[in-house]
Amino acid sequence: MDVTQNLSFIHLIQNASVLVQLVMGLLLLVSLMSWWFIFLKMFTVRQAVKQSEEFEESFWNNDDLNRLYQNTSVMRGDSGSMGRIFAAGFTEFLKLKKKHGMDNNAVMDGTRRAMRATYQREMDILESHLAFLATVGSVSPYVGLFGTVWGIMNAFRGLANVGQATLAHVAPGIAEALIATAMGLFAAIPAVVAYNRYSHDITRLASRFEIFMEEFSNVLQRQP
Amino acid sequence: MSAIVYAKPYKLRAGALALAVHCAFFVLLYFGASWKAQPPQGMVVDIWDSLPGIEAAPTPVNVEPPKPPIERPKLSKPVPPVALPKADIVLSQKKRHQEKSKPIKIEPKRQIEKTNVQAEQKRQEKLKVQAEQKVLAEQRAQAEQKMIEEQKVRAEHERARAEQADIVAKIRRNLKAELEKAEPSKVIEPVKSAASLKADFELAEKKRLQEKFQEALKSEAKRQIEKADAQSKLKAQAEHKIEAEQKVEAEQKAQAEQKTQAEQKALAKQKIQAERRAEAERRAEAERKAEAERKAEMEQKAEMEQKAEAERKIQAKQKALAEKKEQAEEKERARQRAHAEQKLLEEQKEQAEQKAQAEQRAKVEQERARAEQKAQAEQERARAAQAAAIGKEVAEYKAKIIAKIRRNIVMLPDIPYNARAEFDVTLLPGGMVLNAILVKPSGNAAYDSAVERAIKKAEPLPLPPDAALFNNFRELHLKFSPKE
Repeated sequence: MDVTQNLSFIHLIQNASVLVQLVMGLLLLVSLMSWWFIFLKMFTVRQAVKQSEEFEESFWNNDDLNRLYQNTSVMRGDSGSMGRIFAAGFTEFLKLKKKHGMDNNAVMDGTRRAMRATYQREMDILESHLAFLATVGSVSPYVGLFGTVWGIMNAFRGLANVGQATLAHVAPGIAEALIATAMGLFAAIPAVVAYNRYSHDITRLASRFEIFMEEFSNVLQRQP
Repeated sequence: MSAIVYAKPYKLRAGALALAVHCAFFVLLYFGASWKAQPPQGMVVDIWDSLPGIEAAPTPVNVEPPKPPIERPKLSKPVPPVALPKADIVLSQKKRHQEKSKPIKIEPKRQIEKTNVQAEQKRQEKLKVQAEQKVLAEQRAQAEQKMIEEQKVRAEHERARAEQADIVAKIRRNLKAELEKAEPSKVIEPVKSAASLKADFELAEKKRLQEKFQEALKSEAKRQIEKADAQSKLKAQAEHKIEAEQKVEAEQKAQAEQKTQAEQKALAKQKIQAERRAEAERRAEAERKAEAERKAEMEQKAEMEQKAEAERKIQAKQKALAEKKEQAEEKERARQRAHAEQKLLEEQKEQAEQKAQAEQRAKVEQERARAEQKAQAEQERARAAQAAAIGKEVAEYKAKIIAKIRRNIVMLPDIPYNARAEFDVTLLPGGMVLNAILVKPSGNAAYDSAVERAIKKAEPLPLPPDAALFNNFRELHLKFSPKE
């Protein structure tokens, strides 16, 4: 317990107790995963927004719904969430129209149901992993704190056996323990920021989809 | 499902970015916050470190002074005054001997007197002076320092002082002069001594001075003789030189005359030659000019021809270029035409394709429309057939329903014969009545209520076994009157 003890970063992690090391490993894993999801969400949300804009533009600039339907059904994967909602609704509409004797209201109900189903599926995909980010943001500080508390407990327990207590006896232990808190915060802060950002983005996307569905229903109802 | 598929290419990129972020974080932690708990080593600064340097600095200044005495001898080297310094040294040595011997003789006389101490002091001073003189003399002898001028000056000084001494006949001054001679820097004031001492000193001094004077005179004479010799020598040399110069001048003059004559001759020859040459040159020039004119004419002709040829060539080239350009332009035009034609063809093709597509689409739509019409017609026929079948069954069951309800009407005695009540009955599957609404009252409330009760009583109403037909019975419009 020299004062000139080597307190480098790696040394501190190596000296920590097994439980604190486990906590640190868990936090590292969680942090890696949360960052992975952050980047994944960033790319997917950005792509979804871009595709929605493109689809809306082509929808409002195109009079012929049949051609638009053919285009979207051909490019399937690239048309984006809004394109898929449109395709599902229009498919259902055509199917119901072929059945004669169907009430116009019934046709519209069926179409709307089909669109809503697709919308729910798309939202589910877009919102995937967001819950994980929220969990990491709220829990990982506590996990880090747990590691810190445990480490400090150990440090003070060691202090009990020494006759003359000096700060030099406790300091390395506390430093070791505090690394766990630092890691927890490192995992939590970006996760919270990303969660808020992406949930906001996805909410906006969802409202956009709903508005589109309503407008598209109106367009279909006007169809002969 | 497709949404998951399209998200895949981002997974690797996202993973790599996440790893990069963590690596950056750890690198930052490792280099930015490597918490070394080593106490900073205090710099030991000795404030007095700089002072010895300042003290040491003056030493070279002290070392410098001894240099000048070494430099002086160098300056006086070329002068070879060997004899005189020696004489000086002899003088000093003599002095020393006299001074040494005399005080020893005097001492016994003065032993009792107070002046003893003074004499001893004087002697010590003199000894010092002698020692210094010795050192100086040795230095002089070793380095051969003194210049001739200084020696002369000294000799003159000595002479002057000797004369002064003779004239004034005072010993103090002589002593002073001696001391000054010995070392001009150190002025040791003679101490007044007793009269006996003075007398002794006078004698000694006189002797010494006389000797000095004689020697100085001798040396002077020698020097003068040497000087005269040197002067005579110099004169002889000068005469020799002058003669030699005169000779040289005479020779030079003779040579110059010879030269001038030769030059005049040469000039005359040259003139003649030059004239001849000039004539030859004139002729040659005339010939050359004629040739040159001929040549120039020839050249001009050749140039003209060349120019003409060059012009012809240039014209030919220009023509060729122009033809090439025209050909190239034609080619380009042809290409452009070809392009334009191709474009036209392509456009036509595209238009044709578009037309064909449009026609195909139209055909497809027409076919679809026809198919739909056919299907509708068939459906209508089938429906008509069905409707016919259904109509029978519906009519039958409606009759059954009405019959069942009528059976349940409890007839009252005073009901008008022509009373007529109309009910809207909503049925549930299974024949139960959801509600029965009186649409048109009969005018007799008793009859209306009786019919309503009968409808409730008649539950379950008879319905066809085919559930598909239930739609026809969902809402029934029934009319009742006591007539029937």
